[in-house]
Amino acid sequence: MTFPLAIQGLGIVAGFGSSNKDALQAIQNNAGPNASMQVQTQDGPIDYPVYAADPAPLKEFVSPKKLRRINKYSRLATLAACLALQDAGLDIPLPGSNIAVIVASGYGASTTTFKFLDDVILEGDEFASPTQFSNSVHSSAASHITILLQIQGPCLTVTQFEMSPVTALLNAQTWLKEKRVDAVLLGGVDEINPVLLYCYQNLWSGQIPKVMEPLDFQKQTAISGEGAAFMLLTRDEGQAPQYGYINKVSWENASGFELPKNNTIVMGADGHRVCGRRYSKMLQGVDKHNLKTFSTITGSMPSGQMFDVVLASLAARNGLMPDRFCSIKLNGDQDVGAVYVSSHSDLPQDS
Amino acid sequence: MAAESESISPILVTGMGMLCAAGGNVPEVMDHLYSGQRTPVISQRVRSDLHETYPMFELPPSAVPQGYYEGPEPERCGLLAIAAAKGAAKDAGLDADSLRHRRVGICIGTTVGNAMNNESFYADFLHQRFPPMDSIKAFLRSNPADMVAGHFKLKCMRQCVANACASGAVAIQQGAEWIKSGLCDTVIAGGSDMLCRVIYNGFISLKITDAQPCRPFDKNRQGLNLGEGAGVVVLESQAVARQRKILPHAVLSGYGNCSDAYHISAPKPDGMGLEKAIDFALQQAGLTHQDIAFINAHGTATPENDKVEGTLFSRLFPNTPFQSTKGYTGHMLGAAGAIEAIITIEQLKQQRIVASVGFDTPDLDFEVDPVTKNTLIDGEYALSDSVAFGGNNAALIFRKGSRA
Repeated sequence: MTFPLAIQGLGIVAGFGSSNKDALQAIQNNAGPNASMQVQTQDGPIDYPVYAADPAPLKEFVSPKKLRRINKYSRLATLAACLALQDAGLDIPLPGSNIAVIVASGYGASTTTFKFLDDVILEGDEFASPTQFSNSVHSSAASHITILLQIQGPCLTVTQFEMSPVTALLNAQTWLKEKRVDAVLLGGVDEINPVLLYCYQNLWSGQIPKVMEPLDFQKQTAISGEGAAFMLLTRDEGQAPQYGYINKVSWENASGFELPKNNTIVMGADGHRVCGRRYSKMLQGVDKHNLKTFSTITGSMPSGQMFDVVLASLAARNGLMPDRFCSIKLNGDQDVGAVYVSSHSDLPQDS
Repeated sequence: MAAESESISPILVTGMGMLCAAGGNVPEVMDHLYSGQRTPVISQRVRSDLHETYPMFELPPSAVPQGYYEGPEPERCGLLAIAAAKGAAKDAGLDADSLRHRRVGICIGTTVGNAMNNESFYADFLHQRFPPMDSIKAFLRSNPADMVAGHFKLKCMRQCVANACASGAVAIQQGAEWIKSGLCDTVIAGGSDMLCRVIYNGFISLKITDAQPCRPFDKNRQGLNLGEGAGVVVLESQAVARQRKILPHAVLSGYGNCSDAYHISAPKPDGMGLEKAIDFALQQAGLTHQDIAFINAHGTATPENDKVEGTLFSRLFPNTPFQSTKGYTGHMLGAAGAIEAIITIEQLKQQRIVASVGFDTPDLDFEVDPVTKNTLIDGEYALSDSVAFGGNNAALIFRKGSRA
């Protein structure tokens, strides 16, 4: 859908840190995985490299007392949401605001689901934890954002694997287009846990990568990442927003999709060989100098496209890449999620 | 009586399909509800090692989709969604071929259907028995919206909504948004959820589950009974429906979605978020509270939920008949909002609302009681509301359509 969304603020927490300054440094230094996590396998324990994110700076925005029963999944999302609001110059909390919250996640609060199961399996059903249970739903991150930041507007959590960010953005466009809200606080969040790495080990066996090489389409080099990436979006209000505009968001069929010309392509390839082949096919004939990828600094995760859009917007604002780009994410053989961003609102406000 | 305001172009409900403990399709469910029967069971499939047992509302054998119990557990929500979607598409006069020639969207809400909560896989992982990837592969193909698209062989926009117990209602709202904004001509929208041990143990741990059949709005209510099922509607714009010469069951006149900003598992006592959602829906529909002929409440039968709704209805809708149908279906979580939307539409069509089963003793904490007999109504508009974990509230207002 074509309807400009003004990007008023960005917030990101990932393996490289939790500020725009950290993000810019990571882009310039091509930061890699920052930690490891051990997984038990039939051949013994394996240390997997990961991009581990730390939500501790959330204490600067929210009283630690209020965070006691809140899981990492929700803390990551809330921290990125706070950073985006701060970046947009808004005070926190926001009672009485007409803001919507939209969260996209592939894995949801699965780590908390497993903690709930730990108690049940190891101790028995009577030890099921109500706190773990109520925090295990996908919507817990969005709910905690509304509670901690006192946002009383519409709230939506979407989970559609790699297409989660695109569907989240399409919903934001509809709400802003019909003036249902004044702004949308929108982001993606995913979290690593040992089960995920066990799946990596079993689904993509072979040598464990040390670095991600998303442009080498023949190799499986995905390394799991976690974190949250948020944006504060408004309608085009006539004043140039600091990060430009998301002019168009589209869910396309791969068979009929053509890459836009005169755009830098921010490629969602994230080291998975099977996806890499699809990206390779799509990018045939494209000048590699016109390609960017950010998965090498965030790691691989289903909500990765949100990180791509946030990091590319930040990089463009700071002169690290052209200010007109298109973020592309492939899902299976048939779906393409495309997000078109530029410093100008150069498209009509209709669909 | 007001008409829909200019702010919302009419979104029509042209097809409906559902299955739950009360039946395998819309007529069966409605007959069951009007009969006043309910059939909670002590499940032989979903059990815990707790001494006390809690009744649930399982699908009757006649409503169980093929392969439901035999296939991978993660795919059950998707199978329920497919069954409901097939019913809705058929009811709308659409088949797979005709859907493939439209700009279709699929928007399905769920709570269990997107959770990586396979207990046997995780137990094997935890005890280092190194489980195979079968369950994970099943999980990766179990997204209910994807499964519905796969059934109809549609390459289209899809979305799984995870707004806890408001998911089904919110999925219908977002489906309407997609049509209004021009993203789609037709949206298959609804909710789907299944029974499983994680949910069973989880709700028991919260101490909001009744060991007896649930008693919505009753003074002595002890909590909810879980249920399973799916409800799906076909939404179309008025222009598309006219072109197809299909009469609508109802018009989605208004909808709202607002947050309590209060607590992760308890509704805000003053019902502020729900009131805002209802007000938004009324405003969008160009209606006042007096225009609502009846309310299908969330009515889980938990002490807190029913108190919030009862208190709010006392203030906003003191003379409007209301009901909870969870006494017949159980609480179907992410499917509840969608199934109750369909039940609401059917009651509008029949101008007769179902008795709220399980109610006996008025709760003096609020001033209104649900209807205790099947009751004739005379009105065009009805409200269905949903209240969810995390303070997510949703309201749907339907106007009676022209389909008999």
